Formats: sequence, C-alpha cells, structure tokens
Amino acid sequence: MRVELVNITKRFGDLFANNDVSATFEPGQVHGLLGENGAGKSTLMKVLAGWYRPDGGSIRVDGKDVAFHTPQEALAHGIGYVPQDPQDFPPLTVLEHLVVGTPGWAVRRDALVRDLENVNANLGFDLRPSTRIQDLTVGQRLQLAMAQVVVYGAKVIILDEPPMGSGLRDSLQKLAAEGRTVVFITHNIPDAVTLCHRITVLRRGRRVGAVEQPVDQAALVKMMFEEDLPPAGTPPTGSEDIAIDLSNVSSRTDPPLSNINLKVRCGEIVGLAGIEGSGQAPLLSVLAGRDGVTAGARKCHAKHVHLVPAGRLGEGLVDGFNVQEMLALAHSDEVKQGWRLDPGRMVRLAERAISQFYIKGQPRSPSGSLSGGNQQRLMLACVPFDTDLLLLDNPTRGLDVPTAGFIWSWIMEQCERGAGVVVASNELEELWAHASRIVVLERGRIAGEVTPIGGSFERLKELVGGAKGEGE
Amino acid sequence: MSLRQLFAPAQDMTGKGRLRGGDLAVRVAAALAAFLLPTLLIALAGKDPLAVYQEFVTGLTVSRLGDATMYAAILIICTASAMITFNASLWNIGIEGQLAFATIGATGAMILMRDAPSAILIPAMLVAAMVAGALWASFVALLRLIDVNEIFSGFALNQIAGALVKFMLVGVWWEISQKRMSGIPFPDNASLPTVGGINLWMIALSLIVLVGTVWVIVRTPIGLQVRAVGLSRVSASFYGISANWVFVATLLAGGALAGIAGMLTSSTYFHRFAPDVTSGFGFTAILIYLIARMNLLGVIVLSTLFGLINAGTIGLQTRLGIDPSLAGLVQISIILALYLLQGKDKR
Repeated sequence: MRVELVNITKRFGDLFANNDVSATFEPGQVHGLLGENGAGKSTLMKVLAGWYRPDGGSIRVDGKDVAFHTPQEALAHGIGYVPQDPQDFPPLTVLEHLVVGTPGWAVRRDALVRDLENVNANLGFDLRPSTRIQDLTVGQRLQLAMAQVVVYGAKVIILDEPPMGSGLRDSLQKLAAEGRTVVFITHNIPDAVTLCHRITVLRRGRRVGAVEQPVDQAALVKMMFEEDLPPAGTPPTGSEDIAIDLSNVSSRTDPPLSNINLKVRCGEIVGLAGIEGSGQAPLLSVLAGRDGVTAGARKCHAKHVHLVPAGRLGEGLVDGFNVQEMLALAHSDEVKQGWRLDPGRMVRLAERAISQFYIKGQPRSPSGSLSGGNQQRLMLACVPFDTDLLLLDNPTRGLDVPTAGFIWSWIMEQCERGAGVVVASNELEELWAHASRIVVLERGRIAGEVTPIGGSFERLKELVGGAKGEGE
Repeated sequence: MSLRQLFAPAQDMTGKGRLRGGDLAVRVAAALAAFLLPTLLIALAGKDPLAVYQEFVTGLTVSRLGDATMYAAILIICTASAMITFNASLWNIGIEGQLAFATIGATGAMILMRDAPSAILIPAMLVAAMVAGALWASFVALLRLIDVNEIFSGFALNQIAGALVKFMLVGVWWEISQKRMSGIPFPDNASLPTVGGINLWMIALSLIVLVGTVWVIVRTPIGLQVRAVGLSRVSASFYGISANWVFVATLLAGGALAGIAGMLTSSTYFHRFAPDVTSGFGFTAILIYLIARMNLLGVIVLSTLFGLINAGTIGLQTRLGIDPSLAGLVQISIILALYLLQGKDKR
C-alpha cells in the first residue's frame, strides 16, 4: 500500500508537534523517519495509525483519502503501529495475546496458531504460542508486536524506535520484500542508514527533507541537528566532605541489596553501572531514603536529597500538571506570596526554566504533551536549587546526543556547586566520559569499582559483563 | 460565557482553546433528554405534563424561592466538600454520612445551649457540627491509611451515621423530642435569620465557603500539593509530599465543610433534628462536582437550578397530587444530559 501524508499538522495546546508535514511511503520499501527527540516522528505516525486525529492535512492510502478515529480502524485499513514500549500483557501467553487483540467477535485459535507459524517461517521469528510474554526477551517481545500486526493483516508496518537486534534488519527486509510498506522511526543515524531505502528527516515538527540510498551520513547529521554537539566535561574529583555514607547496607527491595558499602563525597559524580535490574534503582531509592535498610547503616550528611526517577510522566512529572504547575510544585518558595501562589511569579519561573533548560514548550503546556527529552529537561528544572545530594536514574535514556550532552553539562554544574551526584546509566560510555568513579552492581551487590582516570574501560566492561573481578 | 464554558471541567478552564464548536444536534438532544424522562413519567402517571411544568413555574413564590436558595446554599457547601477530597483523588462518598453525623453535633450544642442568644448559639452549633463532620471523616481517613478504599468505608459510615441519627432520636434524646418520630425541633434563635424571606446569611456563607475552597485548591501551594497527590501519588512523593498526610488533611477539611452543611440543614432548612434529614445532599453534590469541577459559576448555577426544581415540586403535591420525588428525577435527568454534553466535548 502506498501511503501519502499531506500537510499534516498536529498541535498539543500551543505546541506544534507536526507542522505542515508531508511524506510518502512506498510499498516494498523500508522507509526511515529520522529526527531528534521531540522532532515529531512518533506523533506523525500516531496520526497515521489512528491514535491521534490531525488538526490539519490529510492521509491518502493508495490514492484514496482516509480518516481514522481509532487504531483499530487504521489496522482494519492495513496500517499497523508497533509502539516504542511494548503494549502487551506480561502474564498472558503469546497466543492469548493474539486472541485479545483479534478484531471482531470470533476467536479463531487454530487459525491464529497457523498464522503465527507462517510469520515465524517467513520472518525467521521464534515465537511459541504457549510461551508467557514475561518469559520473552526484549527482542522476542518486539517480534510478537510485529507478528501481531502482520497476523491482523497490516500492509503498512510502523516501528517506533524498536530495540535494535541482529535479526531486525532481516525481518524488515523480508516484510518489505513481501510487498509491505515498512516505516522505521529512529533517532540513530547509522541504524537509519543501514536499514532504510529512503529516509525522511524531521526537525522541530517540520519536514527538513528526504534522502535516498546511497546516503551521505554527514548530510543527515546536518539535516537532523541545528546546533553543534556540546563537548564532554572532565570528571570532577570531589571534596573531602561526605554527602552520604552507606555501610554494610542490606534492604528488602527488588532485587534485595546486600552488604553495600558506598560513600558519596560532595562534588563528585558516582556512576552506577551493571546489567539492567542489578539493583541500581533500589540503591538510588535507599540513598534517597525512600526505602529503608534492614541491616547496616545509612548516614546522610546532605540536607536536601533529590531523586530524579527513570520514569517521566507519572513518576518524575505529575501527569496532568502543566510546566508552570510542575515548577511551582518543585520550587514553591519561589512562587509563594504569603499563603498564595503568585501567578506572575509562576509564569516568570516557568519562562526562566524554559529558556535555561531549552524546553520546547510553553508555561501552560501540559507536561504530558512534551516529548521525552523535554520531559527529562523539565524534570531537571524541577530539581530543588539547594539539592546537595542528587540522584539520577538513567537521565539520558532514549534521548538524542545533544539532549544527553546538555543533561551531562547540567549535572557537572551541580557537582561544581558542591552537590554529591549519583547517576545510574545503562550506557557505559557516558559514565566513562563523565563520572568520577563507576560502581558496578551485580544482583544487588557491588561487584567492583572503576575510576575512568587511569582506569581501564575493558575492566569496566568485564565487571558489567559478569567476568569476576577481585574488587579494587 | 457560553453554557459550555460554564460547565467546562477545570483543565479546560485553564487550557483554553480546547472548547471547540460542537455538534448542535447533540446539544439539543441533551436538552430534550433532560425533559423527556420526567415528561414521560408524568404522562404515564396520567397527568398533563404541560400543566405540571406550568405549576412548577407559577408555584415559585417568595417563600419557595427562600427554600430554593437555602437548598442551593447547602448543595454548594457540600460540593465544596467534594472538591477538596476529589482533588486529592479520594472518592469521598461519605459526605452524606458526615452531614448526618454533624446534625447530631449541632443538635447536641443546641440542646445544651438552647436559651443562649443566636450570636453564641449559632457559632457553637457550627463548631460542634464541623468537629462532628471532621470526626466522621477521620474514620474514612484512618481506614484509608491502612489501605481501605474510601468508597467502601464511606458507604459503611453513611449507613452507620443514618442509624446513629435514629438511635439518638429514639434513644438518647427520646425524652427531649417528646417521643415524636418527627424529630427535635430547633428554636428560632438557632436559625440563621432571613431578610424578606431570603436567607442572605446562608447565601453569603455558602459563597464564602465555595470561593474559599476553590481559591485554596487553585491558588495556594497547599492546593497545588493536594492536586499533585490527586493526579499522581508517586510523582508527588518525589517532591517530598506525603500522600497520606494529604489524604488525612483533605478528608478532615471535607468533613468539616460537610459539618457546616449539616448544621445549616438541621437548624435553618428543616428546623429539626430528624432521620433522613440529609436528603441526598452529599450524593447530589458529588454529581454536581463531577460536572462543574472547579468552575465556580457552574457549581452555583447547577445548585441554584436544583434548588429551584426542588422548591417547584413542593407545590405539585398539593395542587396536582404529584409526589415531590419528581424533583430528584428531574435533577438526575439534567445531570445525565450534562454528562452527555461533556462526553461529547471530550472527543
């Protein structure tokens, strides 16, 4: 199916997520949709897939104007969207999951099993009907989401920032070879270049241009970013003052922590590394005092501890508050006038934060309407100014390079101000570039510690990979 | 200000621009629906609906208007009570019970001080009722702290409060009521005075309570914290706000407001302490809140409309032999019609 998006405009409040964007997706091709976080890629595809209704413009499928009110309607017209975070039901089995989403009333278990086998054979997937979704790997969950839209008859398959795995390239090529139209949303230039026949670039809600293979990567970089990448800082060394001291701490978290010894000094950045789920989040939670210790001692010398959680909406940000309400909640002293909130000061505080943190939004933009990167920057803007122990859980997850760079330079500033900082991250490179030292966790224990200055990156990778170190 | 803006939920009030011109047909259908159900039932009862509606309007004498404003004032205060807890995401259906229990407090104060001048008796009853209302709400709060849903506890406490009122009447205060099930009458000095048949005191009090409540929720740091907890307990916790503290504080405050309504109901509206004195004020208030949300004018207009409907139906019984329960029916029809409109706007 040939899909044409013609002059699509989508607004959230005063924010133009898509502004007059046109794009054409041909059958038999893998089409890239490339742009920074907040460029409007997901919004554009959600408009196509019936999640949002456009404020302007039209959608044409095989030359005919269409308008979808629901994702089901779009799917019935052959347009299937695979969202960034898997929208599945972990306790269900693969087959049950397919049954739940089946359009119509009839449940055709046997037919679904047959369809699933076909998909497995055609795309090289390995999905067994009786496996529980919670037992699937991240890659298999993506396969399930793709299999689902294929089984339901999608001719156009949209993948929103799928986790990159070895088999993904093959699957996309096979889908295209079967005559389907594949749209691949990404902020990663090499991924787009290796996977796509044709790439459309978005920036700040507008279409910048489209390129065909062979693609010049440097040209893509220029199209995608406006500003130069900020330089990485040099790791701060910290002072003698201790911000917090954990000695032999254990906790009843998930996973439980045991025998954690960790001193965080003022003015240093401690990186937390490890395989995802090795206890980084519980350790941050214990450091923040949100979870109690069952053994050992937590001595906190910092007066103002603030944890910036990994989740954005519904965790670090109140879903339903706008930018200025969020900031007023976090910095109530700044906007208080006796008993009341001063609306003028609220707006000024918000405007200051918006310009200081480059938030693409207005004081009255709902926090839920901001893109991931802008939500993260708003969360930083909501860190109380007098925080002297700052804890961050994967602050750059899913963000593009300039945004991540901005976040790190802000973290550096907090450090220079004298705050002790602990950052958990799954990206070893960024910890290596910025942290004073990196503590590696494994199953709730500290497996070892590496100092980037004078240390070995290979050693860090070994520790994270579980190759036993002797501890330093 | 259009009708739609009037009843726009809070987020639309601040968000602006979200109120688009809608489908006129749905609007007309909603307005018709509001009258269709009661009209059908009147016709089924063998009466002429037109005559009923005519009587409805002509029956609104000054004294009935006085009744209507008192009814509206009590509804407004109950809606303010609902606002406080609902903004903290608590489905506080216990307003009804808090109001009922508060009438016990007000009556107790009245019995102890019945000969005191109004200037002393009325504040004393007010304080007693507010304390009683807050006390009754505190049980919901305590149960909430051990993870008992406020809907279940509120429902149970409503039942218990109703039973307690009966028990007080036929048990503890049976002699004082001179063994009459019609209840314990309140003396004139216990009533807020009227001016030309209209109870200006009650109108003023209700408006102060309503405006004050909205102001605190929308314009103060405390209100911001309450709303933060209401939208997301987890998010609020990252900014050092204790959800439990907010739950307890809002329930106590809401209970105290329900107490004011309870005092007014018994001392000034019905002039007596009697079973079933609550008249469903607590539930109607929740319905009003769910439509008008934080919109001041919306709450006032709906409450006044309901007051007028209630007063208008009183005359129907004597003149046309129609039970005043018609009022409730018309009120609910209007609520349902407004939900229909609101649902349309949310698209």
